[in-house]
Amino acid sequence: MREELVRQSFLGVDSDEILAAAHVGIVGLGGGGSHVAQQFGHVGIGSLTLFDRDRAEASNLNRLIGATRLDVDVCALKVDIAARGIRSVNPAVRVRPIPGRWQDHALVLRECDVIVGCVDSFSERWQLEAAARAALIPYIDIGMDVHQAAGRYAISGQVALSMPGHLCLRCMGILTEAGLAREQYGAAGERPQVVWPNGLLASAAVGVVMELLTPWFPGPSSVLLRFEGNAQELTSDRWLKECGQQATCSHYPLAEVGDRL
Amino acid sequence: MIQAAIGLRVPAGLLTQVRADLERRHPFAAERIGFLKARQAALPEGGALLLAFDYLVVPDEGYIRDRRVGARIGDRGFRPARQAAFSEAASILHVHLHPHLGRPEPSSVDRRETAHFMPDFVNVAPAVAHAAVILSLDSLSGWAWRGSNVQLLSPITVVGAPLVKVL
Repeated sequence: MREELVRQSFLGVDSDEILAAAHVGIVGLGGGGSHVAQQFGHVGIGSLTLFDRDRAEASNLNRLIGATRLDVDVCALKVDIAARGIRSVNPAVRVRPIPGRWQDHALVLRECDVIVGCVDSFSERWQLEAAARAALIPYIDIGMDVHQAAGRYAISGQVALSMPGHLCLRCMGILTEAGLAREQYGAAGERPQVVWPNGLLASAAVGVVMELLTPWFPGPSSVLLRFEGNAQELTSDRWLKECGQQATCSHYPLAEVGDRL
Repeated sequence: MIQAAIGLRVPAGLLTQVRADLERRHPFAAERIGFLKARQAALPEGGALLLAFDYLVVPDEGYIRDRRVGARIGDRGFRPARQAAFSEAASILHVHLHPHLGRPEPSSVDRRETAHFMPDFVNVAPAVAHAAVILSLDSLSGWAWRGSNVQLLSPITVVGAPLVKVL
């Protein structure tokens, strides 16, 4: 085992080889995705493909991991900031930064073994999950929201694993027709985001990926972790944990995978 | 010339179903055969993914007696798979089991027999790749037929928790 990874050898005797062979895609390298990318650099994921067309702005510096004032001054791409951080930890990682919309690189996205989505809108979540399902790729979704409740601001969020053949984001109630129609994510100013819940949710998402890839712990096929920021609580959805593992999804039949010829 | 990669993804639950079928005793054949149906998805640079979505059980009466091989199926055994290839443009994956641990390799009989019948699927549905997959007790391997080319399926990914990737 590589010296850098000996402290995580409990993940399995061949976990370094498993992780080195894994190819993970991260869509959205902002507040959530920058945390995720940094951690994947540390844990030894071998191939990372990063999708984001945005550049660093001053308003990102409250949460964009790895970004510097100089990055803002030179309008650095978020994917390049993330790639720089990953390579500084582990130069052996095959990092592919794609400064564009993932929809314009859909075939590249299909090469990933796992996709982590750190996107802002419901509609993009929907599209991304559909693309993942169509290629039999497990999709891990991170979402954070700041909204007004009883005259105060409240932070909430979720991490969900959408496994092909199992419950999807619609089944879990994360995507709803009303939400897609409204497409209103947050009320505390424009797209409110802060670093600490992003970090917590990103860490939980990385944990879900590690359970999937390494044999240290028999992880579940469906995951829904709910975060209540004001109470500082991250809890596993009780119904999903106890009853939902055998439930199947009617929104994405397996027979609808692949290209239409 | 470097061949474009062809990979396979199969849901863990579907693979469990396949194993359960192939491990059943047959009245006279020494082993069983089945067919996975898959859809093809394009990858960059001409690569492709075969995405398994259904399994066709070969009924007992689809086998014919032949002591030279572990199992031989006749037209009745092949017909549903050929029909799926023709009418659904599905990729067909011939599947059987080698009861040992570790990565399975094709026997000389496997090589001879697959070379004989796999081109039939290519003729029926030439727009997609087809494959022969061998399961062992804890792994799997496969070879894809695309046009006149035969190549290793790589990577093969069992999609579930855990996610297992065989290079």
